[in-house]
Amino acid sequence: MTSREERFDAIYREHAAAVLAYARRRAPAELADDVVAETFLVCWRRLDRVPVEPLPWLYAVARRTLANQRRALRRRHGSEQPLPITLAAAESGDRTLAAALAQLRERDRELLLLVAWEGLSLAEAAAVLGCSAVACRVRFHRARKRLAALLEPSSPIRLSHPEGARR
Amino acid sequence: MTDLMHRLAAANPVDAAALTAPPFVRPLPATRPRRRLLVAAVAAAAIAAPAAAFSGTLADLLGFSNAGTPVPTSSIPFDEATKLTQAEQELQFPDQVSNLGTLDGITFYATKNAAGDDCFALSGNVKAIWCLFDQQPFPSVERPIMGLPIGQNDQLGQLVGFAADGVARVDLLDSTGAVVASAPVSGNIYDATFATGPQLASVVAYDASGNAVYTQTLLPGPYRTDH
Repeated sequence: MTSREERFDAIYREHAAAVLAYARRRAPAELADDVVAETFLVCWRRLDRVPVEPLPWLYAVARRTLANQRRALRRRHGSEQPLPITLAAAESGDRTLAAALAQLRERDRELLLLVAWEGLSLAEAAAVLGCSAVACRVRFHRARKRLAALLEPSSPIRLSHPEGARR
Repeated sequence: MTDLMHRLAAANPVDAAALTAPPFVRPLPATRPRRRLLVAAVAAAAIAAPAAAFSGTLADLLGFSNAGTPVPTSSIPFDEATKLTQAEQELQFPDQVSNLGTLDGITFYATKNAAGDDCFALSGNVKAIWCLFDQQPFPSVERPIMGLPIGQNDQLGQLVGFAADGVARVDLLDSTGAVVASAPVSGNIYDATFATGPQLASVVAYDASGNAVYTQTLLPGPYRTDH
């Protein structure tokens, strides 16, 4: 086995489950599996550019892949796909949170979830989102405030996907 | 962490630690058939290995007697709407491929793409397409077989692949060393169905005398065989 293969295998062994979890938190299982496969295809092709700590880089690739997949689905079906993360939160029983999350801008929502679900530091999340650590920190606090405001009892939150679109 | 972040964390629907890690197979990851298989297979192509000369020089190494029958690439029955067809284009498949035969409803194809990479395809009960991008040749002593366990549906998997001359049988073993599937090689191709469930651990190739000539360790990975 070449050193290139060894490095790839090590990355795969260590991080494949995390990338799979990332994708499944944000997409239906069948789409998530595609995202993982394509993420590691990119990892193989660009192995020389993969940083020493590869997980944020892998998440960033998975995020772009997921966005591409959604665009392709929209083109194919001509309709917006449900937001899986809102469904996921709804599944957990917190439908109010799901609705509030759906009201956030995608980058704000992603930033919060990278910290809350993937357990990344703000610096790592910044690497995923391609912004500076300082900008990411500011955005994080603002996003958290927006989400908190949306969760206020007086906030007129509406469910973006009634019935969760999940049966 | 604030209460809000705790609440967010509590809504996390997937625990990465709880995800089972079905085998990741080099050169091809096990996955489900049809659309997702295609993606995984393409990924595997890159992950993968070889770069043997297929059409002309297979026989230079361990030997690969089955020259197959030339058929138009367009005759491979991939649904045009799937990523298989897209992958076929991305991998620059030529107009013709060699049909190496059909086993249990799976047809095996091989060819060399425009870049000179050796490329393979499967159609039928399982579908896949991939090319070999690195320098480890197939067939060779180091790589006398090239195949994969593929999930066919919730209950069944398929041990399927290509084998050099001299390889008589290919077994799929679980983590306890028990044989999950055993596929006789016929015309340099092999196929066997197995019940999904066990933690797959390795693929072993045997010569006609029953001697193990090659063992491929399967890496753990997220590709599921349970679709």
